[in-house]
Amino acid sequence: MSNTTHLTEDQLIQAVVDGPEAAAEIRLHLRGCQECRNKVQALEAELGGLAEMAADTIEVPPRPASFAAEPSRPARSRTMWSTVIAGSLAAAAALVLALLPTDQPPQAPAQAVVEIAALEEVTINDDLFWEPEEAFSNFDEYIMADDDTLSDQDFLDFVAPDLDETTSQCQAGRTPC
Amino acid sequence: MGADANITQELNLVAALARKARKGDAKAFDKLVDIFWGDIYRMVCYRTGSTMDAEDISQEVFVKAFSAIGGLGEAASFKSWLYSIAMNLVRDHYRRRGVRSIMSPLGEAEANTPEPDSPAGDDRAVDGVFKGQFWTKVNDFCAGLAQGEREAFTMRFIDGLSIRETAQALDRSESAVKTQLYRAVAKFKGDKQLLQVLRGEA
Repeated sequence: MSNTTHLTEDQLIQAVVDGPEAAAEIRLHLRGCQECRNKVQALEAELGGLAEMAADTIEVPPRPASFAAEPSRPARSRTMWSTVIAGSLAAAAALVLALLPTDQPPQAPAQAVVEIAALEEVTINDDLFWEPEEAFSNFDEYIMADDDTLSDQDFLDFVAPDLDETTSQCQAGRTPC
Repeated sequence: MGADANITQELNLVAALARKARKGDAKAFDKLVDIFWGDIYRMVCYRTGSTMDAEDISQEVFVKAFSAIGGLGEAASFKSWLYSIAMNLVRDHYRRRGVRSIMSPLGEAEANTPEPDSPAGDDRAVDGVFKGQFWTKVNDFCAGLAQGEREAFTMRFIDGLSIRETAQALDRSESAVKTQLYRAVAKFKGDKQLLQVLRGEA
Protein backbone atom coordinates (compact mmCIF):
# COMPACT_ATOMS: atom_id res chain seq x y z
CA MET A 1 0.00 0.00 0.00
CA SER A 2 1.50 3.34 -0.98
CA ASN A 3 1.61 6.22 1.44
CA THR A 4 -0.52 8.38 -0.84
CA THR A 5 -3.47 6.04 -0.20
CA HIS A 6 -4.42 6.24 3.45
CA LEU A 7 -5.81 3.43 5.55
CA THR A 8 -9.53 2.82 5.24
CA GLU A 9 -11.81 3.14 8.28
CA ASP A 10 -11.84 -0.65 8.65
CA GLN A 11 -8.07 -0.79 8.53
CA LEU A 12 -7.78 1.95 11.14
CA ILE A 13 -10.06 -0.06 13.40
CA GLN A 14 -8.06 -3.22 12.75
CA ALA A 15 -4.88 -1.35 13.61
CA VAL A 16 -6.37 -0.30 16.96
CA VAL A 17 -7.94 -3.64 17.85
CA ASP A 18 -5.07 -5.86 16.68
CA GLY A 19 -2.27 -3.59 17.88
CA PRO A 20 1.16 -5.05 17.12
CA GLU A 21 -0.53 -8.10 15.60
CA ALA A 22 -2.18 -6.04 12.85
CA ALA A 23 -1.66 -7.16 9.25
CA ALA A 24 1.82 -6.46 7.85
CA GLU A 25 0.54 -4.05 5.20
CA ILE A 26 -1.22 -1.96 7.86
CA ARG A 27 1.86 -1.84 10.08
CA LEU A 28 4.03 -0.97 7.10
CA HIS A 29 1.76 1.87 6.09
CA LEU A 30 1.61 3.24 9.62
CA ARG A 31 5.39 3.31 9.79
CA GLY A 32 5.50 5.80 6.95
CA CYS A 33 2.26 7.78 7.40
CA GLN A 34 2.03 10.31 10.21
CA GLU A 35 -1.58 11.18 9.37
CA CYS A 36 -2.83 7.62 9.79
CA ARG A 37 -0.67 7.16 12.88
CA ASN A 38 -2.35 10.21 14.40
CA LYS A 39 -5.79 8.79 13.66
CA VAL A 40 -4.89 5.46 15.24
CA GLN A 41 -3.44 7.15 18.30
CA ALA A 42 -6.52 9.36 18.70
CA LEU A 43 -8.86 6.38 18.61
CA GLU A 44 -6.63 4.45 21.04
CA ALA A 45 -6.69 7.43 23.42
CA GLU A 46 -10.49 7.65 23.28
CA LEU A 47 -10.88 3.95 23.98
CA GLY A 48 -8.28 4.18 26.74
CA GLY A 49 -10.18 7.11 28.27
CA LEU A 50 -13.22 4.89 28.56
CA ALA A 51 -11.53 2.53 31.04
CA GLU A 52 -9.96 5.42 32.97
CA MET A 53 -13.19 7.37 33.35
CA ALA A 54 -15.15 4.26 34.27
CA ALA A 55 -12.62 3.41 36.99
CA ASP A 56 -12.75 6.98 38.31
CA THR A 57 -16.49 6.76 38.92
CA ILE A 58 -16.22 3.79 41.28
CA GLU A 59 -14.82 3.90 44.78
CA VAL A 60 -13.55 0.45 45.68
CA PRO A 61 -14.22 -0.62 49.30
CA PRO A 62 -11.49 -2.39 51.26
CA ARG A 63 -11.33 -6.09 50.57
CA PRO A 64 -12.72 -8.46 53.21
CA ALA A 65 -10.15 -9.58 55.75
CA SER A 66 -9.48 -13.05 54.44
CA PHE A 67 -10.95 -15.62 52.11
CA ALA A 68 -8.41 -18.39 52.39
CA ALA A 69 -7.21 -18.58 55.99
CA GLU A 70 -10.60 -17.86 57.49
CA PRO A 71 -13.24 -18.40 54.84
CA SER A 72 -16.06 -15.87 54.99
CA ARG A 73 -18.92 -17.01 52.86
CA PRO A 74 -21.90 -14.82 52.15
CA ALA A 75 -24.54 -15.54 54.78
CA ARG A 76 -27.05 -16.79 52.21
CA SER A 77 -24.60 -19.32 50.83
CA ARG A 78 -23.56 -20.66 54.24
CA THR A 79 -27.17 -21.08 55.21
CA MET A 80 -27.80 -22.95 52.00
CA TRP A 81 -24.95 -25.40 52.55
CA SER A 82 -25.75 -25.82 56.23
CA THR A 83 -29.32 -26.66 55.30
CA VAL A 84 -28.23 -29.21 52.69
CA ILE A 85 -25.69 -30.92 54.92
CA ALA A 86 -27.82 -30.85 58.07
CA GLY A 87 -30.78 -32.16 56.12
CA SER A 88 -28.72 -34.92 54.51
CA LEU A 89 -27.28 -35.96 57.88
CA ALA A 90 -30.72 -35.98 59.45
CA ALA A 91 -32.08 -38.12 56.61
CA ALA A 92 -29.10 -40.50 56.90
CA ALA A 93 -29.57 -40.74 60.66
CA ALA A 94 -33.25 -41.53 60.20
CA LEU A 95 -32.33 -44.27 57.72
CA VAL A 96 -29.76 -45.79 60.12
CA LEU A 97 -32.27 -45.77 62.95
CA ALA A 98 -34.86 -47.43 60.76
CA LEU A 99 -32.44 -50.20 59.68
CA LEU A 100 -31.00 -50.97 63.13
CA PRO A 101 -31.64 -54.54 64.41
CA THR A 102 -34.72 -54.45 66.56
CA ASP A 103 -33.74 -56.63 69.56
CA GLN A 104 -34.68 -53.74 71.74
CA PRO A 105 -38.21 -52.39 71.95
CA PRO A 106 -38.83 -49.66 69.40
CA GLN A 107 -37.97 -46.17 70.50
CA ALA A 108 -40.68 -43.69 71.06
CA PRO A 109 -40.87 -41.29 68.08
CA ALA A 110 -40.23 -38.24 70.27
CA GLN A 111 -36.97 -39.77 71.51
CA ALA A 112 -35.79 -40.42 67.92
CA VAL A 113 -36.50 -36.82 66.95
CA VAL A 114 -34.40 -35.59 69.87
CA GLU A 115 -31.49 -37.79 68.75
CA ILE A 116 -31.65 -36.50 65.16
CA ALA A 117 -31.74 -32.91 66.36
CA ALA A 118 -28.65 -33.57 68.49
CA LEU A 119 -26.87 -35.08 65.47
CA GLU A 120 -27.57 -31.96 63.41
CA GLU A 121 -26.03 -29.67 66.01
CA VAL A 122 -22.89 -31.69 66.53
CA THR A 123 -21.84 -32.61 63.03
CA ILE A 124 -21.76 -29.24 61.20
CA ASN A 125 -18.23 -27.88 60.92
CA ASP A 126 -16.39 -25.66 58.46
CA ASP A 127 -14.18 -28.43 57.09
CA LEU A 128 -17.20 -29.77 55.31
CA PHE A 129 -17.52 -26.56 53.28
CA TRP A 130 -14.07 -26.54 51.85
CA GLU A 131 -13.77 -29.68 49.83
CA PRO A 132 -16.59 -29.31 47.35
CA GLU A 133 -14.47 -30.43 44.41
CA GLU A 134 -14.08 -33.80 46.08
CA ALA A 135 -17.62 -34.09 47.27
CA PHE A 136 -19.22 -32.92 44.02
CA SER A 137 -17.48 -33.90 40.85
CA ASN A 138 -19.54 -31.46 38.76
CA PHE A 139 -18.62 -28.45 40.85
CA ASP A 140 -16.26 -26.94 38.25
CA GLU A 141 -18.85 -27.39 35.58
CA TYR A 142 -21.36 -25.63 37.78
CA ILE A 143 -19.04 -22.65 38.18
CA MET A 144 -17.69 -22.44 34.65
CA ALA A 145 -20.81 -23.17 32.63
CA ASP A 146 -21.85 -20.51 30.14
CA ASP A 147 -25.37 -19.22 29.60
CA ASP A 148 -26.89 -22.50 30.57
CA THR A 149 -25.35 -22.30 34.03
CA LEU A 150 -27.40 -24.11 36.62
CA SER A 151 -29.11 -21.76 39.00
CA ASP A 152 -28.47 -22.14 42.72
CA GLN A 153 -31.81 -23.87 43.04
CA ASP A 154 -30.93 -26.28 40.21
CA PHE A 155 -27.65 -27.03 41.89
CA LEU A 156 -29.39 -27.62 45.21
CA ASP A 157 -31.81 -29.92 43.49
CA PHE A 158 -28.86 -31.77 41.98
CA VAL A 159 -27.07 -32.11 45.32
CA ALA A 160 -30.09 -33.00 47.42
CA PRO A 161 -32.86 -33.84 45.00
CA ASP A 162 -35.36 -35.29 47.45
CA LEU A 163 -34.73 -33.20 50.50
CA ASP A 164 -37.85 -31.03 50.28
CA GLU A 165 -39.96 -33.94 49.17
CA THR A 166 -38.75 -36.08 52.08
CA THR A 167 -39.43 -33.28 54.54
CA SER A 168 -42.93 -32.63 53.23
CA GLN A 169 -43.80 -36.33 53.17
CA CYS A 170 -42.50 -36.66 56.71
CA GLN A 171 -44.57 -33.68 57.80
CA ALA A 172 -47.63 -35.17 56.13
CA GLY A 173 -47.04 -38.40 58.05
CA ARG A 174 -46.57 -40.48 54.87
CA THR A 175 -42.98 -41.47 55.67
CA PRO A 176 -41.19 -41.99 58.96
CA CYS A 177 -39.32 -38.84 60.09
CA MET B 1 11.19 0.15 33.47
CA GLY B 2 8.73 0.32 30.54
CA ALA B 3 5.03 -0.42 30.71
CA ASP B 4 5.43 -3.72 28.84
CA ALA B 5 8.10 -4.90 31.28
CA ASN B 6 5.81 -3.99 34.20
CA ILE B 7 2.95 -5.96 32.68
CA THR B 8 5.19 -8.97 32.10
CA GLN B 9 6.45 -8.79 35.66
CA GLU B 10 2.89 -8.66 37.02
CA LEU B 11 1.82 -11.59 34.82
CA ASN B 12 4.75 -13.63 36.11
CA LEU B 13 3.91 -12.74 39.70
CA VAL B 14 0.25 -13.71 39.23
CA ALA B 15 1.20 -17.00 37.59
CA ALA B 16 3.64 -17.83 40.39
CA LEU B 17 1.05 -17.03 43.06
CA ALA B 18 -1.64 -19.01 41.22
CA ARG B 19 0.67 -22.05 41.06
CA LYS B 20 1.23 -21.86 44.82
CA ALA B 21 -2.46 -21.28 45.54
CA ARG B 22 -3.36 -24.27 43.38
CA LYS B 23 -1.23 -26.40 45.68
CA GLY B 24 -3.17 -25.12 48.69
CA ASP B 25 -1.05 -22.13 49.72
CA ALA B 26 -3.61 -19.89 51.41
CA LYS B 27 -1.23 -16.93 51.70
CA ALA B 28 -0.59 -16.97 47.97
CA PHE B 29 -4.32 -16.92 47.34
CA ASP B 30 -4.64 -14.02 49.76
CA LYS B 31 -2.13 -12.03 47.70
CA LEU B 32 -4.13 -12.79 44.56
CA VAL B 33 -7.17 -11.33 46.31
CA ASP B 34 -5.10 -8.20 47.06
CA ILE B 35 -4.18 -7.89 43.40
CA PHE B 36 -7.60 -8.50 41.88
CA TRP B 37 -10.15 -7.33 44.46
CA GLY B 38 -10.45 -3.82 43.00
CA ASP B 39 -10.65 -5.01 39.39
CA ILE B 40 -13.30 -7.62 40.11
CA TYR B 41 -15.31 -5.23 42.28
CA ARG B 42 -15.35 -2.59 39.52
CA MET B 43 -16.14 -5.15 36.85
CA VAL B 44 -19.18 -6.36 38.81
CA CYS B 45 -20.22 -2.83 39.80
CA TYR B 46 -20.20 -1.67 36.15
CA ARG B 47 -22.60 -4.47 35.32
CA THR B 48 -24.93 -4.49 38.31
CA GLY B 49 -25.07 -0.78 39.08
CA SER B 50 -25.16 -1.52 42.79
CA THR B 51 -22.28 -1.27 45.26
CA MET B 52 -24.01 -3.69 47.62
CA ASP B 53 -24.51 -6.32 44.95
CA ALA B 54 -20.99 -5.68 43.68
CA GLU B 55 -19.52 -6.33 47.12
CA ASP B 56 -21.56 -9.51 47.66
CA ILE B 57 -20.86 -10.90 44.21
CA SER B 58 -17.15 -10.01 44.37
CA GLN B 59 -16.85 -11.90 47.65
CA GLU B 60 -18.62 -14.84 46.10
CA VAL B 61 -16.21 -14.74 43.15
CA PHE B 62 -13.22 -15.20 45.45
CA VAL B 63 -14.93 -17.80 47.62
CA LYS B 64 -15.69 -19.84 44.51
CA ALA B 65 -12.21 -19.26 43.13
CA PHE B 66 -10.65 -20.47 46.36
CA SER B 67 -12.75 -23.59 46.48
CA ALA B 68 -12.14 -24.44 42.81
CA ILE B 69 -8.53 -23.36 42.33
CA GLY B 70 -7.34 -26.96 42.46
CA GLY B 71 -9.00 -27.37 39.06
CA LEU B 72 -7.32 -24.31 37.49
CA GLY B 73 -5.57 -25.32 34.28
CA GLU B 74 -2.73 -22.98 33.30
CA ALA B 75 -1.61 -20.81 36.21
CA ALA B 76 -0.92 -18.02 33.71
CA SER B 77 -4.65 -17.95 32.90
CA PHE B 78 -5.67 -17.18 36.47
CA LYS B 79 -6.92 -13.67 35.63
CA SER B 80 -9.21 -14.74 32.80
CA TRP B 81 -10.37 -17.73 34.87
CA LEU B 82 -11.31 -15.34 37.70
CA TYR B 83 -13.17 -13.06 35.29
CA SER B 84 -15.06 -16.03 33.86
CA ILE B 85 -16.27 -16.89 37.38
CA ALA B 86 -17.28 -13.26 37.88
CA MET B 87 -19.04 -13.17 34.51
CA ASN B 88 -21.03 -16.30 35.34
CA LEU B 89 -22.06 -14.89 38.70
CA VAL B 90 -23.13 -11.63 37.04
CA ARG B 91 -25.22 -13.62 34.56
CA ASP B 92 -26.79 -15.52 37.48
CA HIS B 93 -27.54 -12.17 39.07
CA TYR B 94 -29.26 -10.96 35.88
CA ARG B 95 -31.24 -14.17 35.74
CA ARG B 96 -32.42 -13.81 39.32
CA ARG B 97 -33.30 -10.16 38.78
CA GLY B 98 -34.71 -10.75 35.31
CA VAL B 99 -32.56 -8.03 33.71
CA ARG B 100 -30.14 -8.08 30.82
CA SER B 101 -26.54 -6.95 30.57
CA ILE B 102 -26.27 -3.18 30.31
CA MET B 103 -23.52 -1.13 31.87
CA SER B 104 -25.10 1.24 34.34
CA PRO B 105 -23.79 2.27 37.75
CA LEU B 106 -25.85 5.34 36.92
CA GLY B 107 -28.44 5.34 39.68
CA GLU B 108 -25.76 5.46 42.33
CA ALA B 109 -23.77 8.20 40.63
CA GLU B 110 -26.92 10.32 40.70
CA ALA B 111 -27.82 9.33 44.24
CA ASN B 112 -24.35 10.27 45.47
CA THR B 113 -24.52 13.73 43.97
CA PRO B 114 -24.33 16.18 46.90
CA GLU B 115 -26.55 19.20 47.42
CA PRO B 116 -25.31 22.03 45.15
CA ASP B 117 -25.09 24.55 47.99
CA SER B 118 -23.31 22.31 50.47
CA PRO B 119 -19.75 23.28 51.48
CA ALA B 120 -17.29 22.11 48.84
CA GLY B 121 -20.31 20.67 47.09
CA ASP B 122 -19.85 22.42 43.74
CA ASP B 123 -17.00 20.29 42.48
CA ARG B 124 -18.61 17.12 43.72
CA ALA B 125 -21.93 18.12 42.16
CA VAL B 126 -20.21 18.67 38.82
CA ASP B 127 -18.41 15.38 39.32
CA GLY B 128 -21.69 13.61 40.05
CA VAL B 129 -23.34 15.14 36.98
CA PHE B 130 -20.37 14.14 34.88
CA LYS B 131 -20.53 10.55 36.17
CA GLY B 132 -24.22 10.50 35.41
CA GLN B 133 -23.64 11.81 31.86
CA PHE B 134 -20.78 9.42 31.29
CA TRP B 135 -22.74 6.33 32.29
CA THR B 136 -25.84 7.48 30.42
CA LYS B 137 -23.79 7.69 27.21
CA VAL B 138 -21.98 4.41 27.86
CA ASN B 139 -25.29 2.77 28.62
CA ASP B 140 -26.86 4.13 25.42
CA PHE B 141 -23.87 2.98 23.42
CA CYS B 142 -23.90 -0.52 24.94
CA ALA B 143 -27.63 -0.82 24.30
CA GLY B 144 -26.88 -0.47 20.59
CA LEU B 145 -24.45 -3.40 20.57
CA ALA B 146 -25.29 -7.05 20.11
CA GLN B 147 -24.75 -9.05 23.30
CA GLY B 148 -21.53 -10.67 22.06
CA GLU B 149 -20.14 -7.32 20.93
CA ARG B 150 -21.09 -5.72 24.23
CA GLU B 151 -19.43 -8.41 26.34
CA ALA B 152 -16.25 -8.34 24.26
CA PHE B 153 -16.09 -4.54 24.09
CA THR B 154 -16.69 -3.94 27.79
CA MET B 155 -14.25 -6.60 28.87
CA ARG B 156 -11.56 -5.35 26.48
CA PHE B 157 -11.99 -1.58 26.72
CA ILE B 158 -13.68 -0.94 30.08
CA ASP B 159 -12.29 -3.77 32.24
CA GLY B 160 -8.99 -3.53 30.39
CA LEU B 161 -8.34 -7.21 29.62
CA SER B 162 -6.18 -8.17 26.65
CA ILE B 163 -7.81 -9.84 23.65
CA ARG B 164 -6.45 -13.20 24.77
CA GLU B 165 -7.78 -12.77 28.31
CA THR B 166 -11.13 -11.57 26.98
CA ALA B 167 -11.39 -14.61 24.73
CA GLN B 168 -10.54 -16.98 27.59
CA ALA B 169 -12.90 -15.29 30.05
CA LEU B 170 -15.79 -15.39 27.57
CA ASP B 171 -14.85 -18.85 26.33
CA ARG B 172 -14.60 -17.70 22.72
CA SER B 173 -11.85 -17.86 20.14
CA GLU B 174 -9.56 -14.85 19.76
CA SER B 175 -10.65 -14.38 16.18
CA ALA B 176 -14.32 -14.34 17.23
CA VAL B 177 -13.54 -11.70 19.87
CA LYS B 178 -11.61 -9.61 17.34
CA THR B 179 -14.49 -9.72 14.88
CA GLN B 180 -16.89 -8.57 17.60
CA LEU B 181 -14.47 -5.81 18.59
CA TYR B 182 -14.11 -4.54 14.99
CA ARG B 183 -17.88 -4.10 14.83
CA ALA B 184 -18.16 -2.57 18.29
CA VAL B 185 -15.29 -0.12 17.74
CA ALA B 186 -16.81 0.94 14.40
CA LYS B 187 -20.03 1.80 16.30
CA PHE B 188 -17.98 3.53 19.01
CA LYS B 189 -16.35 5.74 16.37
CA GLY B 190 -19.77 6.77 15.18
CA ASP B 191 -21.15 7.58 18.63
CA LYS B 192 -20.61 11.34 18.67
CA GLN B 193 -22.30 11.90 22.02
CA LEU B 194 -20.12 9.41 23.86
CA LEU B 195 -17.02 10.78 22.14
CA GLN B 196 -17.96 14.31 23.23
CA VAL B 197 -18.15 13.19 26.84
CA LEU B 198 -14.83 11.39 26.56
CA ARG B 199 -13.23 14.49 25.03
CA GLY B 200 -14.69 16.68 27.77
CA GLU B 201 -16.80 18.60 25.23
CA ALA B 202 -20.20 17.75 26.69
